[in-house]
Amino acid sequence: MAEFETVHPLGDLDQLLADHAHHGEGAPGVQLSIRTQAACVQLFSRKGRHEDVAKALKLNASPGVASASKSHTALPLSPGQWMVTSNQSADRLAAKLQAKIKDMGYVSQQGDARVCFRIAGPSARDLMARGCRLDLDESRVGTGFCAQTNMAQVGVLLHQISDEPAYDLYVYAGFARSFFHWLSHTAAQFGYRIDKL
Amino acid sequence: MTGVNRVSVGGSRIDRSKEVRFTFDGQSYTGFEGDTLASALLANGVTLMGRSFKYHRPRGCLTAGSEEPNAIVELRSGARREPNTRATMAELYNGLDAQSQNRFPSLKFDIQAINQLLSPFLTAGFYYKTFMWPSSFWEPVYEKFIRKSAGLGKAATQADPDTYEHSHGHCDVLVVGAGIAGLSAALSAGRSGARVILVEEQVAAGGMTSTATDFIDGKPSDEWVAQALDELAGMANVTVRTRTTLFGYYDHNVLAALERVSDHLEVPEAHQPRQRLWTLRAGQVVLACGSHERAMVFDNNDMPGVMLSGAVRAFVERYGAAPGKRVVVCTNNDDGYKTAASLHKAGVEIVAITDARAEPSPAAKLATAAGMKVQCGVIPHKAKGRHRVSAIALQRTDGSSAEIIECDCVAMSNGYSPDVHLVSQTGVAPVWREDILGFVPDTPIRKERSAGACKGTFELNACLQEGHQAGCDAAEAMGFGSGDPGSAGTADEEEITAPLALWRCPGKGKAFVDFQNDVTAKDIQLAHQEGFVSVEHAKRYTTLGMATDQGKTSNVNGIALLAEARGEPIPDVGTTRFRPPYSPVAIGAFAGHERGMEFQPVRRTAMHACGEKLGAVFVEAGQWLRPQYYPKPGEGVMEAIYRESEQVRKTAGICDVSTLGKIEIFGEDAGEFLNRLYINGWKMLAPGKARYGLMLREDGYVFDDGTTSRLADDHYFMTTTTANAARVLAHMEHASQVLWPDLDVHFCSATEQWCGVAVAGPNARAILAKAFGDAIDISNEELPFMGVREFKWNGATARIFRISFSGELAFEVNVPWSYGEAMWDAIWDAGQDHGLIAYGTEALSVLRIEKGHVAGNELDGRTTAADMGLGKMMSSKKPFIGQKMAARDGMIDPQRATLVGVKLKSGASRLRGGAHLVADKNIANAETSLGWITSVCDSPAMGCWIGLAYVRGGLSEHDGKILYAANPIYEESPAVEICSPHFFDPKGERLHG
Amino acid sequence: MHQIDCPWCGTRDEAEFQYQGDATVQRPKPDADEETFFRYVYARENPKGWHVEWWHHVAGCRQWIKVVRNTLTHEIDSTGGPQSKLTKPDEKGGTKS
Repeated sequence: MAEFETVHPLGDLDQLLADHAHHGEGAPGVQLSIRTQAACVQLFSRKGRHEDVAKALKLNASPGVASASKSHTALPLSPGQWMVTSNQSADRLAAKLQAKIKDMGYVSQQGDARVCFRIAGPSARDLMARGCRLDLDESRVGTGFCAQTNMAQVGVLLHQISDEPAYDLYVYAGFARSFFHWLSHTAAQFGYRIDKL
Repeated sequence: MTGVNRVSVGGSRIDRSKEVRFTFDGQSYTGFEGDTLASALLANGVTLMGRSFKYHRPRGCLTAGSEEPNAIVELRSGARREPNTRATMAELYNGLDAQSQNRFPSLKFDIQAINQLLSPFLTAGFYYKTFMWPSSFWEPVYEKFIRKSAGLGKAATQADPDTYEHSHGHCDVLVVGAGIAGLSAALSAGRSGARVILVEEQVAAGGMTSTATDFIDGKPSDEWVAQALDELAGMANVTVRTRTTLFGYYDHNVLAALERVSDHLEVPEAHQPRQRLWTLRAGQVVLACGSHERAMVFDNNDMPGVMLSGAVRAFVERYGAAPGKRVVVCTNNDDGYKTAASLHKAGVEIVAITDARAEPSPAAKLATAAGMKVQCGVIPHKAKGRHRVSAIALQRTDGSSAEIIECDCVAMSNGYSPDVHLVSQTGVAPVWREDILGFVPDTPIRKERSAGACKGTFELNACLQEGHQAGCDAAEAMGFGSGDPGSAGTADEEEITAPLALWRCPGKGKAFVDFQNDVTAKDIQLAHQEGFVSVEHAKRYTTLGMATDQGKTSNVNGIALLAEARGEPIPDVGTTRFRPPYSPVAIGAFAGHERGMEFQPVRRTAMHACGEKLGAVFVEAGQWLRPQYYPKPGEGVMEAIYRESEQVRKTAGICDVSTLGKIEIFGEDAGEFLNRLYINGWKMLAPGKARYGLMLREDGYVFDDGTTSRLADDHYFMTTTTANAARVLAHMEHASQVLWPDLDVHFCSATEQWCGVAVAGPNARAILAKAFGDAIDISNEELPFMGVREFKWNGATARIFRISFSGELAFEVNVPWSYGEAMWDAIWDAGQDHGLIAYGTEALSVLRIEKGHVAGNELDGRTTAADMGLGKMMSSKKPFIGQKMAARDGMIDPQRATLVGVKLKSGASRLRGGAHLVADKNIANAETSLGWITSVCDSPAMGCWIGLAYVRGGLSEHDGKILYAANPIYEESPAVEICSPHFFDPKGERLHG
Repeated sequence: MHQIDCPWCGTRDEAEFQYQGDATVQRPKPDADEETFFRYVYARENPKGWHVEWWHHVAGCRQWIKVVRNTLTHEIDSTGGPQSKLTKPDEKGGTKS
């Protein structure tokens, strides 16, 4: 076999970045980033082991708020389910989690299923309001807030990563191009820059 | 100076230093920045702005706001042409090009004005009385006539080049309307600490207050308004949106508003939308949307130059545009005097003020003291003039005639109707208040409260107080009771004297109630005479209140006249219920981004680019795009499909199957769970093996099918059809959460974690062995039929399944999404020496039809497992979903249509899906139909057209017989032979190779 | 636009949900007779007023939640998880109607 390379669901990212280098005059209102190192593992606790799994991994078991450790962040999805994200390799993350929870639950890799967009900059919240039905006002939610919802007819897993504010949006890989089309089209009114992380 | 009627006083909204050029019906004019089209035309002495809907009578603007019924114009041209826009809402920009509507050939000379002579035939209900016969005239004659004469403006024929978008807003307190009450409410709620959104339809706040007469906290009202806006702007918890019309009040305090972002510009600024549709979710709502002034109903009250009093005032104060030089004010309430004061301040001559009330009110006395001529107990009789009012004939309320006064503008006020549209949308029925002659909101149903004129409160002080209190109450309801709301402003004002009811000024001519739909006082009497006595019936019969203005200026006059005709008090007549939208909203705004490429998201597989590279033609499968076939240069569709399906059986083919639904299932009860979902048994399936499964719905019909593999004791991997992926997941969630919460089973979609290819054909194993090399041993011994293995490939976990949809030796390989292209390329490269081709969904279908495998066409929601020939799969050793209902008599009737194969014998060059099978080709109807063809293909393996069909009695009755495939659309009934659906390799020897 | 209080996610817009019908019917035991199953599959009340319904939170936590909703006024009285036992206001003996 010749050279081996994986391909991002958005295709050639360098080309994409070049095509969307900078929109609008002056300082950009939105900083869009495509996170290329976002491993995702879905974690399930077995029946009746919800609390045990949360304890073993020091996870927040209640909805709407992520729990972060040095190596990973866990976003509660539904009772007994979390999406654990990390910058390390998905295989290693999955193995580590499974080792910690032993027979109390299951892990399933989801890193390839999702593309992660980061939205930051002074107009981030306004951009989110163009597609997100949730109330993201600082008086309501802050860093760590997470939710599953829809934006632009696409399911997203939303995670507020800072009070700035900045958001990570995880969307299914098949929808990534459509979602990016909407995102860049909508962000243009604020002026945006784009990069990859 | 721009315009003969521009006055130097007032003009709070215009910038006199910025001249703006525009055209109306091709004629050039100049206005100021901040003008509306209507104010600029009035300033230029132009009062004729449109023709009426039915009678084509000349009309000018009646109002200064969104309730305008007359001055409806077409803006812009070409792709941006926008019909039916109110001149009173169209903000002027340099180069604005406006056209009047509903006239031919010109506004001044309109041929259809002859309709006025036909008016005896165009009375109430004429739609229902004319154009009835002969019926042969309906389409060719009447429809064309009606379309031409009933239409308003012409829509653009090109695609709209501008964008529209949606946005979401949340607040504790939503305040609708930035008049005095609304500002007061926003201030107190904002000061209390609540998150406030204040929306205002107009470009500026202040509502109907007059700078000439209204003072708040010792300042002219406009200064107070400016100060209030400053304070609101300084609060981080308050957002003020002007040019934003709240048009819908929906369930659970969800409201919709339209923000006109760029309508005041020639073209939107770069990347800006033209309009933005807001969905607002509010804890509490304060409605402070004001009131609508009513017209006096007298003969020729629709003549250009006859306007509502408040509108005359607004044109002078906001735009410095006097609607005339010699004004007569006709009123039945104190508002007329405010207008008179405004005009007086601006130096416009007030020829006379007539007041229907016999006794002079304090306001009247003030006017008299200021030197104005006030006539009490006097009302209009008839407006005179041609294209514009030139005089007004007056009469006394006792019926005696009074003088005729020359004038070029009549400012009329018949009192104000509280704007109850939005509150009515919530289901609150308005109640009549005789003291103000208006309907006011009854007890709220939703979390809302009204304040100010929309509640029937017209005194300035009371508006300030009521708004303030509403803001406090709304904030307190949201938990901000401890905040300091400050205090309400106070106004110096005279006491208001009650208006006098005056629903029809006596006369014999045309006195309009609904200006936009040309409904006269007589029409309402006629409707009543003809039996349409209920307000809802009268509305529809006369079309009162049914135009784009929703009868904002006309409803109460109409209801009052109907009450008079019925001889009953107004409350007994009641109101019609208002529905959204409050004012017209462009379809583009509702669509937002969801048009063109953004109409619906598109799902692309990981190997989309591989298909593109090979020239695939893509087909939509739900939201997915899938390679349909891969034409070679010069090759037609049918040829390509034929070649692909033939080649797979000769050598090998690769097909992108990533769109199949994939679900990872975990848990110690996962096997039991599958046992209950599928009709067949799963307990005996060993790890490393796959099995075909069929699911029923609870009603016993087939739901979906697919292959599920056992990867470990407590780990299964399910595949579903592309079409049903989401439904199957929802079905499983129902089963695990609702039906059997005690089972230890957990699952998630993995459709986009894994992408997959099918590699099928005699060379499949050789190709994959070469592609994956040492990574996996796929010999028949290591990976037998229905075997499954996981392996590592280039650092990633891959899964290989020895399963076949084509009947050939075949494998499906799954790798993580990002490895898709690499896998495709590796297999493609390895296959070049082995005759590997790419095949699409069409060839996939040919191959499965040749094998008699069911797919979407056969899984149509009306078929049982037995209908498909899979009845024996239904286990009797365990319960499963749909079991009981599948055993009903009708479901196991031997006369049900069951799956067979059909072969084309003669009578047509091809088979067609959807044809019905009949015994006698000359008698094809619903009674003689024995069944229908579901799938067809030109089969390379069989050398003829074949298909799958459902036939009553199935193979046992029809095997080997000839039936006819009747297709009335193509007028053909080819002869087909009924045979087993397993056309090719019926023993299945090839897939074990 | 209904605002539905998902017991897990909090208040969400109805656009995130799929309506899934009557939540008062109970799936019979597998050995129940055909008539019982027939009623489970097909027979539904069509109440004017309070009703207990399934709303599947497809775009959120993907739970099947129960919603006590008034079919006439669209008012929502309470919501709960898939195994919750909810009571209609008119069955509580309260004053709501």
